[in-house]
Amino acid sequence: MEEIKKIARELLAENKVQVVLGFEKGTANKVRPAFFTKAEDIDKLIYNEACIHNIALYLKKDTCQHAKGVAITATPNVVRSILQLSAENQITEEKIHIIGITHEGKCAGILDFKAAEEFSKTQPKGLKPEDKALIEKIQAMSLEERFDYWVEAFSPCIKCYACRASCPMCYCGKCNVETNNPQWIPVASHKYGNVEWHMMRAMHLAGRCINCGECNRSCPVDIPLNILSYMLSDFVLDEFDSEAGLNSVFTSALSAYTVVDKENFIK
Amino acid sequence: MARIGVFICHCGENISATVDCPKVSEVAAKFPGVAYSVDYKYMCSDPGQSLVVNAIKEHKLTGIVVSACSPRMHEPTFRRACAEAGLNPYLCEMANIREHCSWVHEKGDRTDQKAIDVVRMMVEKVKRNNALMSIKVPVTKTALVIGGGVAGIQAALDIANAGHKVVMVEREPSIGGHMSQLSETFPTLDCSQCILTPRMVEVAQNPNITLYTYAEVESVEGFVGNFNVKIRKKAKSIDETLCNGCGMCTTKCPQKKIPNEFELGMGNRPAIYVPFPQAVPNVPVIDRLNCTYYKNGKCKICEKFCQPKAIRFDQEDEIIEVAVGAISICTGFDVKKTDFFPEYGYGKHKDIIDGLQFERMASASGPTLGAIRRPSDGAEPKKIVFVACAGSRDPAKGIEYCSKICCMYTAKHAILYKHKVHDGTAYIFYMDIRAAGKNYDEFTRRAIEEDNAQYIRGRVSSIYERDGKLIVIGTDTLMNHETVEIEADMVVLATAGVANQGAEELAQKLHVSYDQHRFFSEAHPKLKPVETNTAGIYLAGACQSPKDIPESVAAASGVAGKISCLFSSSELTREPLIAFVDRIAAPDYSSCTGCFLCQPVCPYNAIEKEDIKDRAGNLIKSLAYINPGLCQGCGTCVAICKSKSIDIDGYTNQQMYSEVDALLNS
Ligand SMILES: Cc1cc2nc3c(=O)[nH]c(=O)nc-3n(C[C@H](O)[C@H](O)[C@H](O)COP(=O)(O)OP(=O)(O)OC[C@H]3O[C@@H](n4cnc5c(N)ncnc54)[C@H](O)[C@@H]3O)c2cc1C
Ligand code: SF4
Ligand code: SF4
Repeated sequence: MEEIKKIARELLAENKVQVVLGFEKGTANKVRPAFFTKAEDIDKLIYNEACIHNIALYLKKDTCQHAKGVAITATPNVVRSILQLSAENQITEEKIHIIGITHEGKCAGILDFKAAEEFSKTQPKGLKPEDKALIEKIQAMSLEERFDYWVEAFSPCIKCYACRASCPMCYCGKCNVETNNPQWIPVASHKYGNVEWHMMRAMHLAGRCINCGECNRSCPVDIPLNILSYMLSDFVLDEFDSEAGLNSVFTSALSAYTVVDKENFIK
Repeated sequence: MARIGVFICHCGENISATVDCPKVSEVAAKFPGVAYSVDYKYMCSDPGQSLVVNAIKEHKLTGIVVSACSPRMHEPTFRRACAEAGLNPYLCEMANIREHCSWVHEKGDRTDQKAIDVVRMMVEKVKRNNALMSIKVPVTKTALVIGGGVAGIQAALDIANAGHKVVMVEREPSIGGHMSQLSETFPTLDCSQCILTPRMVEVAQNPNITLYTYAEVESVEGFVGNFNVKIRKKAKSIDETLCNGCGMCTTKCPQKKIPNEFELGMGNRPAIYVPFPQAVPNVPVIDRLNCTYYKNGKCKICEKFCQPKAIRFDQEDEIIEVAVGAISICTGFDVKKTDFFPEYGYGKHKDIIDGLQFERMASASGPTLGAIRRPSDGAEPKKIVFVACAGSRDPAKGIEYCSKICCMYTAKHAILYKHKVHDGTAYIFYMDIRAAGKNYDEFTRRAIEEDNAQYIRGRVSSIYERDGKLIVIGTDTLMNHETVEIEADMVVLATAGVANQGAEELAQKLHVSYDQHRFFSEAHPKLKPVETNTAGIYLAGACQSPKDIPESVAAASGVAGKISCLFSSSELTREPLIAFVDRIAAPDYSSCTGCFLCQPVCPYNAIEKEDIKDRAGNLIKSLAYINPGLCQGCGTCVAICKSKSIDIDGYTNQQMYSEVDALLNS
């Protein structure tokens, strides 16, 4: 922890960065994401196992956008998000100083993008046992049963869009659901309207989602959206040999053709 | 407020026999926003068009729906009518109730209902159409001709004589193609070289033509009117500006036994060589794979004897960039070799040759100086068998098509043989004699009647060697399918004409389509026979399918006509139905997030990066920008863009949505 603080403090003091993105203590034993702009405030910077939010999300917010340099305390999920954002031309390496934190909570020092790619590949991806069980259950279903399962699963959705708000990959300024001329996706929350929204979101994330699980964590009605994304990522890996969050330069399964693409879905 | 006009066409009886046109018109009149609706026998006729023009003026229409045939047929007609009436032509839509309705359904209420639905959809669409301006793109008035066979030569000369610049790229050291290898040509028996050589020389001398031989197209970018082409000029190891074509080097080269490609292996050539005496340009090249110097680092004899000091051993391939407005593919064809035929001995019998080899043998400048000789022992063959359709029209061999030229050249071969070997007999195994063409049937009759060619209708099942003779086993289907056995001295296989080597790679470089046999595809088999699917790229000659000389030349002149039309003005008008990325007010500038996931999906490389900067020049945002000159409006980018930042003029999201909505919520 002290090491993280030391790095952050130095970066701010030397004016290499104007913002450090990390966590501070919240109310009632909770933690909350925080922007630190002064070296003396770094005392308040914390990191513990409660700090699970994917704060890469905030890299696209004004405070970070307007700064010349930004440092971020980055768990494996955050690192993957950063690499994917870079691959999609949303952030540049010169600006971002990654303070790596391993899945065991150890400081990995400052990572450039090359080191971050290595880090990303070697850090395990966590899937909770109950998630695994659910995936197995869904995989055992027929296609019709799966569809019915998801229609049912989406039905409590109140379209609060918390999943979108917490997702670092949902950075579009104008989301499709906000397009009302024409209104392809209905705003009201009803059975099939909900399906349309979640299908669209899943398709837009296919091959881009880094599987941090924020969507599910933020969902007030507990829809297992992370499972949907996880299964899609698995499919993309299988079909296109491509995995999001491992490369800082462009690799998009859905918009690039490579000779190893199996294209089984056409045959 | 929209004031839409609906014009229902009967198309004679094509539509009205199945669809109740007056009823459709009546119903359409009540659609919201429709100010005028009418049905008429032939909307595309002069009175029909006047009806449209007058209605637009009289009823102050803001858009029209012509409910008739496919827009492919008459959209341009009615757009013109709109323009004549002072309405923007892109405020016209076609509702196809012929191909989509009357031609594919039975008469009845449901068919009428479908016609009504189709019209309703288009009414809803046209209400959302925007007035569009056609796009002007500049035209570079230089044509690239790829391949210097007779087709390429004709195309180049015609275009050059129309006053335009031509760049010709030929893969071999000389232009001329297959025609330069032929002896005499059907149906007139004039000497091939004699009619071709003057045209080859003309190409070299025409000031409008720049000729690159021993060169290939490396890459092509751009679009109609504006292609950028990189040409790889392979190293000839000669300074062409110095060489005077004396030929000293070729006589002194110690390598003498390299199989001569031009003679199809029936003669030899040195390592430094000119493919044939009449070659254009008359400049030798060094075949580096076989040259002693390149192999062993020692020799340079040619250099010693070259008076103008033109030999350049260190020459490298050169990449030349040219800007052209149109491209003609004239890369010709090839023929299957005798090794393709297991039943005829896999090419291991020396005295079984292919048609092209026979041409060289019959040619006065060929390896036997025009005498017909068995390759094995040089004896004059007294019995010769020609096998037509060798490989062609044979699905089992993967070549189901007819190679078209073989019937004719086989008849020619039989005639030439008889002219040279008076006491010999020529047998021809054939499937049908296909001699359609001016003076063609007369020509084959001449072979039969005057030159005693023995035509046997049937296929040859096998050929084998016995005591220095070739035993040809076939059937005569006109004689009760009797087995025929001929003890021949020599056999000539009229092997199938196939796509040229490298055709597939070239097609991919040019983004044009090709068929399952790797022949280039025309845009329409009847109406666009010399165009490809890519605007500005044309094709002529045997690269499209086996063709004889008159056909190849006619196609080449057709291409020259097309290209001259394209070059007749300095600007090209294009339909403005292209994609664009939205632009909105600051601070967002666009809903585009600059993710550039759309960039790799565009098949025309039309998507570029545009940097939005503040007044001090600081970058605010990088956005996708679609080059209107390159975009073909395919819509692929629209589908990939997550934020729906891309729309296509004429097919906007709004227009599509309202069509679907009109259909589902009627
Ligand atoms: C045995 C035989 C006998 C024939 N006899 C007659 C006859 O008597 N009368 C008649 O009308 N027709 C005859 N023909 C048909 C005649 O040969 C063709 O019609 C004619 O050659 C077609 O011309 P072309 O220019 O399309 O193709 P080609 O003659 O094949 O010329 C193509 C040219 O393009 C060049 N090229 C190929 N690929 C590339 C590339 N990638 N880049 C650059 N250059 C390239 C080649 O080197 C060649 O010079 C005969 C054909 C054969 C096989
Ligand atoms: S895909 Fe859409 S958002 Fe991404 S760069 Fe292209 S236009 Fe912009
Ligand atoms: S519409 Fe097609 S051609 Fe035009 S920019 Fe989009 S992908 Fe490229």
